[in-house]
Amino acid sequence: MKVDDETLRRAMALALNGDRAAYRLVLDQSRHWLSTYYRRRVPPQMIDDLVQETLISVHSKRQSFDPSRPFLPWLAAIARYRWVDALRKMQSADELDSEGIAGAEEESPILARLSIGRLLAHLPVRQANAIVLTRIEGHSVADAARLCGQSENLLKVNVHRGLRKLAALVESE
Amino acid sequence: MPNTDELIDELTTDLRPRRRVLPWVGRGLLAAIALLTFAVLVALLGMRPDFATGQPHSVPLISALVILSAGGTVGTALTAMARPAVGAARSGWQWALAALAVLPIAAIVTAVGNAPDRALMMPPEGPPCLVIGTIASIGSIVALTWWLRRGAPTSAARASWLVGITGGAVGAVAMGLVCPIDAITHIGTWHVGIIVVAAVGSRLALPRFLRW
Repeated sequence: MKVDDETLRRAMALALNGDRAAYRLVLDQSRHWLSTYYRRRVPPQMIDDLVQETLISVHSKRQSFDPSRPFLPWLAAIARYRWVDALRKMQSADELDSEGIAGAEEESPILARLSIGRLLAHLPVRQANAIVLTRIEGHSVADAARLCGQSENLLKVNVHRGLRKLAALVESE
Repeated sequence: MPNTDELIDELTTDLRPRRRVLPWVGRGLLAAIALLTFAVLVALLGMRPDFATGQPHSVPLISALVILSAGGTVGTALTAMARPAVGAARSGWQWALAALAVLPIAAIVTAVGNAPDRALMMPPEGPPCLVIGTIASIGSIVALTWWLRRGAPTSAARASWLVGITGGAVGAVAMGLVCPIDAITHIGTWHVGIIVVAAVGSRLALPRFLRW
């Protein structure tokens, strides 16, 4: 059953006063909303973890909800924050990987399901191409470097900078 | 991690009433710390004679009011960040900073054709103001950071900038109450410099405390 924002707002207001039934409704509905939200942004294997992390954030930061305002924009802000955090972790994983992004070649393309087409338009062409080839189309570093006419090292740098810029873009929207 | 059903059970069981984060509490805290900072600095260094006698000179008065206004606007935006929401328009602080830029611009324009005033842009007059004002901003920065941690700022970097600018504004206004120099070349560089130093320092130091 899907409930409207007004119902969720009221339920969350009750939850802030300790009403567990209302809180369960909020968390159940948030779970479904978050699954849909992340389905368009992260690969399937990441969705459950991200939904759970976001529910924990909702719980730990519930005092930041303003009962006089709609619920879903608040939930969306927390979901976006966790998404940016996930993007940053991907970037950190790149930095820690001594093979550069080559380590990601064995995974399913990590950004394969990201709905980042609109955001990629904000990146320089070289960075966008590097991300599309390695992270969305799943080419190896060597193949991607050949296809876009960049050296392998330059390609890695462009992927790294592009991911960092993407995280900043999402955060600033 | 447990499955999501178990997690929801746990979170529901763990639910306790919780006091809401209210921006006016943050603003009240900021106002209290600012007043305390002004009082301490005035007690330690003495108020400017023109302010103390109720006959303020126009340049330091206008400068203090511009900085106070900008700091208040940025502080208001900052405390609103504690309660996130997609689509909420919070760009007022950018206009406040644009207004604040009037002071250094006026300082530069004045310095171009005015050698005595230009000399006040150089040490030794400025550094004591910069150091004392920056120290005076620390109380506000710490208090705002502590308060903001209860909320959910969704950009640690932006929140850090705004904490620094707000705290720096408190330090700069406090310095304006005690510094005897009237020249805009001094106020627009060294007093505004307090805000710049506090903002950059906060941007470097605070994000780790504001992430959640």
